[in-house]
Amino acid sequence: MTRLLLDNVGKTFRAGFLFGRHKTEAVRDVTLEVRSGETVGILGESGSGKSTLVRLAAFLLRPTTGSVTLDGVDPWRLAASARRQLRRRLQVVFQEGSDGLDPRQSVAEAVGEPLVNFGTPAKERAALVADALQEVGLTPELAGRYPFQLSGGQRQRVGVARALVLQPELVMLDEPVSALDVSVAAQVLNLLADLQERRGVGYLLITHELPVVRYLADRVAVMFAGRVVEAGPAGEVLTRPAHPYTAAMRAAALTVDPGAGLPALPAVAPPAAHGCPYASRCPAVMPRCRVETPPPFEVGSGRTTRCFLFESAGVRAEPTSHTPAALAT
Amino acid sequence: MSAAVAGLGTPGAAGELTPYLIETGAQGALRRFARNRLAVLGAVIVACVVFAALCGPWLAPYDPINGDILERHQGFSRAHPLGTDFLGRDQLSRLLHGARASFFAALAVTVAVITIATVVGVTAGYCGGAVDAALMRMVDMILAFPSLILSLALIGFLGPGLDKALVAMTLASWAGFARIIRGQVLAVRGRSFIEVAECAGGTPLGIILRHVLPNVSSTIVVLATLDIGGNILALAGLSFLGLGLRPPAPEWGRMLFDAKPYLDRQPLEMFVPGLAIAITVLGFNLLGDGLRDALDPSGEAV
Amino acid sequence: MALLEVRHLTTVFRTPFGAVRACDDVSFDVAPGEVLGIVGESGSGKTLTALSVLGLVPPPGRIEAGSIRFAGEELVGTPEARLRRLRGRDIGMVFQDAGRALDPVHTIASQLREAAGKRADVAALLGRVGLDGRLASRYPHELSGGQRQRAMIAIAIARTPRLVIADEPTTAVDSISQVQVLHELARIQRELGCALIVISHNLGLISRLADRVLVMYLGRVMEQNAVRPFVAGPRHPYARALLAATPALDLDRRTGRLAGIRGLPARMIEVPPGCPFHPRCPDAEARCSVEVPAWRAHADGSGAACHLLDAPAPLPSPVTPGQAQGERFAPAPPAAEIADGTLP
Repeated sequence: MTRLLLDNVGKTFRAGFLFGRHKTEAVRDVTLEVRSGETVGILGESGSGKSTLVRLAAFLLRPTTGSVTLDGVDPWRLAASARRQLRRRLQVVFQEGSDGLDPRQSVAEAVGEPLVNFGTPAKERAALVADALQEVGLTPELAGRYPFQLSGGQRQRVGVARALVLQPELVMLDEPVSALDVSVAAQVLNLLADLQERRGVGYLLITHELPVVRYLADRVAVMFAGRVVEAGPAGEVLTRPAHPYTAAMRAAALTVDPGAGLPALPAVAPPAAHGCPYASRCPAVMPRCRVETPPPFEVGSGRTTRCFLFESAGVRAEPTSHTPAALAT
Repeated sequence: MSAAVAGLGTPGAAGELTPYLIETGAQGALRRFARNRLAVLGAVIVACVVFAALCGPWLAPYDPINGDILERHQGFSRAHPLGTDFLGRDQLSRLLHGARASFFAALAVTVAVITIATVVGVTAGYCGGAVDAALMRMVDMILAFPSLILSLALIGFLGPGLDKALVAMTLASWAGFARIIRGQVLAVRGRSFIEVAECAGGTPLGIILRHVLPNVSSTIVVLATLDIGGNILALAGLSFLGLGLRPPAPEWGRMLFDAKPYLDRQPLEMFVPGLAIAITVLGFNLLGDGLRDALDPSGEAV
Repeated sequence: MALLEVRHLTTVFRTPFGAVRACDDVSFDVAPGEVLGIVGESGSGKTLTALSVLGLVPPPGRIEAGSIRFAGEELVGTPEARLRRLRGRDIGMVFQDAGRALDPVHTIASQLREAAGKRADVAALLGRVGLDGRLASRYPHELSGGQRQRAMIAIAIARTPRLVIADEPTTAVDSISQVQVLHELARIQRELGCALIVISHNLGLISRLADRVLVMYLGRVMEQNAVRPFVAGPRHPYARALLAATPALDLDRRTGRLAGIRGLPARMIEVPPGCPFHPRCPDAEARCSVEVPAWRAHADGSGAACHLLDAPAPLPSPVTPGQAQGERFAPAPPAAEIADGTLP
């Protein structure tokens, strides 16, 4: 059982030089675990730190605080070449349309590149590439095509094939269907679900679309302003949200419902700089929310929420535990 | 640019129809190039210059160095289609021989400049951080001097002669290109496929060779083409000042210099090399512009 | 009388690859004060339908046939100057991505004045879309995505148009800002009493905002109907498949599968003969690949273009009206062909 653990991870970006220096805390105190065979969803808007989180989890960015470990091994304590070896086990599929494919590489070259990097002999490579293409439902004729000759859905499948060709144990999915048409998105989501059942691969799914997380994820962490504000089993958290932000996300989902009209007008404001970041929008804000940052409170079976409304109901969760109650299954 | 591409300025329409309006790939680039009349004219001029540079010595009707002093300052005639100079040397022969010197010298400088600029630009753009800052400060220092002044200073330091002039020109002009290439590399570096390549276990050098260079290659080709024209001009300038090729070797800038004293009596003598330089530089610039439009229809690069 | 009457609109792009029929025999009406939703996937021609109405079809595209009448005035063939005046005054356009449609080097105020005239009350115009008048002096990049989109709406409605066309007004913003932008659109439509055409790939959005819906596929209109009967019983197989592929809020892959539409969305450059949807249609018959289905109109103004509608009954797997809204798509229809995600 492979286990990726993000333990109290934080990432601060520094910008500016000498004058006007400032720093941005993109991710703060995130503790999260992904195991092979399961899907952990990260739900958040742009600016919530979710894309930074996927880069931290994929060893593309080094955390400022806390640690990221794969089966107990911290890639940032390894030499660059050893860290590269660890990459074999953990791949990323980026959003279609964010040019995750090099425009100058053919499909076969793109899918075969990871194999080249890890020294698979050329003879075996062709067969492995063909298998990977077949597995994601692409026909062999497409192997010689270039990205601009493919449809969005086909490009996204190439991205998945490329990520799977090394037989990784974990795959990070960064907005895997946001840029796709509805009918194609449904195909890709089903493909991802099937692949997980067949291969037992683990997913870290990052998206701003609540129905997508609900459909694929076993567990979910809802992010706001760089923090996980609520976490727990996807079904429970998303159908009966505890945190006001999760509730707002659910209310804003536009399902097909002609009688319902538009969802209630939500509050939109930049995150608060002090105290609970959601205080600037929260309908149930209390004076202390503007001063203190709420710790995670336990609310029922394996769920935590960072909201003072649940202080009396819940037990304060141990924030630095290595197997966080909220996210251990 | 073709009419097909013009409509892309309208937001919204681009998304649905781009695949039908822009031809991609090598064939599309070739077709766009062929439709651009000025670019084709540039290509024809460049082809003529290259042909003259390669075959000039065999085409030239006279010896370019030893003329007949009695035939000096002749105008255009059947015997000397472009006249003769102050030593009675045939201008056409000197022009054809000179094409070789001008073109190959300019090409050598361009190859050297682009190589240095690519290495520095890619290193700075890909590595970022302190490496980038250090290299770019160096570039800033070089760019602080006008490049002709810098070349002259370097020649003063290195001494006269064609080889030294070429070295001086190279050292004086790589910095600007390094800055442009760095900018292109930064743009490519920020695209997701670089992160994907990192995840796939690529080493920095492997990623540079496989992903970064191919994606900045069209910029490099365009810069190189535009640079050759500039170098022919700069070399002519240095020769005109007496700092390039030593007499009596034929060279276009030197021909200008030699004709100068007789400008009032025989203006055609200066007109011939001057026009040759102007047309050649124009040809390379048209070709460069055409390549830019053909290789990058969206107008993103360069 | 309808405010906008589009009849047999055919917009063609003559490209080096051949003719692309971006709109092929498109007909619809928009009544004053009505909200029409145009839904379709990429390459369905929905954006070009809007651009045709505005007279903004980019070259080499051209309206080759049909008529567009706005308040009784024919727009096809009208001089550009007149169209420009109409666009400035009577028809407002909200583009997909305000980040790109707004000019980055001008402040919001100067772009509003450009649309509304030099003496316009910029603060009041911004107030109409719920933005603080102080934002007027800002540049587009200094606003959030939702604010930019609302600024863009403010520009579109600056001259109180009779028709507003919003093309994917919320694809570039987050889910919560999206609801806010839609609220502004709906409120403005109510307050100005203008007609609104909303173009989107999101059936959820259309179902919440529109009175009537027009479904497009590869440049053709597949179905049109009032929103409620459309959702309760789509007639065209494409409309049915599109509804089934839209994820419901609480659909879980362990209990029910999403129904993708088999095959690839065809490209406008290679529209299949006959009914354009037939290669992906689960119910296609022999004649579907030969004969273009005629428009089957109903008395209430609704209609669909499908051969199968000639057959007396029963329609394949219609949605029973009694089903609860949220459970409509779970479990997926049993038809294995459409549930399968693999490509042909």
